[in-house]
Amino acid sequence: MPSKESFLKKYRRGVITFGILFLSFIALLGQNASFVQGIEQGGSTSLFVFQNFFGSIGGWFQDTLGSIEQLQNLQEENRQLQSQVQDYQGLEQRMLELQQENALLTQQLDLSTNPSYATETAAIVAKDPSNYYQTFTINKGYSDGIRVNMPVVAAQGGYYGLVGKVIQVGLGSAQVRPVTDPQHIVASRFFKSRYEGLVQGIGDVNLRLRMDYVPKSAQDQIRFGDLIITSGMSSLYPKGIALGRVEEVRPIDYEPNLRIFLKPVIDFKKLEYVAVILEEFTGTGEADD
Amino acid sequence: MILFWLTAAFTILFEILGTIWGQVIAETIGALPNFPLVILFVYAIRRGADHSIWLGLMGGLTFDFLSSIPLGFTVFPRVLLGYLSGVGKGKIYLDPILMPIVFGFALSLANGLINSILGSLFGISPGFSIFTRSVFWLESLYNAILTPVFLFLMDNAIKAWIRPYEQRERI
Repeated sequence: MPSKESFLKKYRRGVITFGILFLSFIALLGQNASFVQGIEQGGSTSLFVFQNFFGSIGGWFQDTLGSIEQLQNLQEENRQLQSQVQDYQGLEQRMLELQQENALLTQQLDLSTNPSYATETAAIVAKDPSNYYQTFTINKGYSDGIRVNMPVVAAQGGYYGLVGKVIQVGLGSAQVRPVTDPQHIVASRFFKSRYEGLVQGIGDVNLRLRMDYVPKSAQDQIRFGDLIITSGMSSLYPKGIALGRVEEVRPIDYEPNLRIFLKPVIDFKKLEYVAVILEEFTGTGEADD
Repeated sequence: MILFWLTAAFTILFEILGTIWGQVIAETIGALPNFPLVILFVYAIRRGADHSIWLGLMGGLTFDFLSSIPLGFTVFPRVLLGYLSGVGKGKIYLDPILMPIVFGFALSLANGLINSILGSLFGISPGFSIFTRSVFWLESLYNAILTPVFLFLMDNAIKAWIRPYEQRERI
């Protein structure tokens, strides 16, 4: 009869494999347990040092190569800008009129035009290595006051647009799940018509969003380019942060609701810096359309 | 042992670089090849399961730490595939091109299948819908093409540096 030692010697590789697989299974079972999350946070924190190092090297190469291309474009850009300046001079007058009109309308709606949040600005240093997830890593973490589920925004094209939420925090880094991720659902509403719905990422290559649960009766009041903002119905996101603009409205025969596809106000492919909302001050802070 | 540590270093390096340039590569060619998985297979088929299990563990842990997916989700398929590939050392015939392509593709399918089963069990997307996505098939294709390339590199590295180094160490 073979002894215990000889059995372990003979099947050592199999036993080790089974042991690791068993531990992986346990880790997956307890994925929300603080112990497992602690290990994951510790691991991502220690790897962040290398990530940051290689990221800065990559950034240097990117900047150097980019600057050569930029030089070539500068001349053309300069010419275009000069012609744009002339156009803007004409627009200035029109803008003053619109500002006055906007101030009046804002007063009527009793809304604050400036969102007031305590934020922490962070740079995007890395992205998810998988083909199936869109999360990214920022260079601020627990020591900067970042916590799980904090909303992340960015200013682009004159809007404070919703970028996503923090899903994991390390000591000096954090992972953010963008709104374009299919696992992300945001309670939202039309800025103009005030119809509510739920916005979800669809995970396609164009990074579009889909808005569901908007009744078909709203179809007449929805226009191409209408702005969608967070409704504040869930406690996670402050009210009034811009999400996207209507790109396509698709009524479905067998459903009472519309399916609306949105183009995010944030261009995720150009996103370099974000702001994590640490605290929201009083005031609704709705975005201007 | 030197080959193990070198391969482990390359695996971790590829995982980290994937977080920095991965999306740029994916946008350019449609999908990011799974370099660490291919390296794991190539190592396992040449050096056996003794170390490939640990290589799978190291690569899997690194990926799980860097990615948003729960701990263990990548470790599981990597360790299992590292073991199975290692067990096949010396038992399967590998020509320079065709069989590595076949095995590289089969490995990607097996990896996708294990991920789908785990995803469905633990509610981690995309689950079985992974097979409906073109990115998965493109990734598998790239893995298949890369397998003979990495096998060639590994064989030449063993012949040129590793074997002489190991012989010197023995003396």
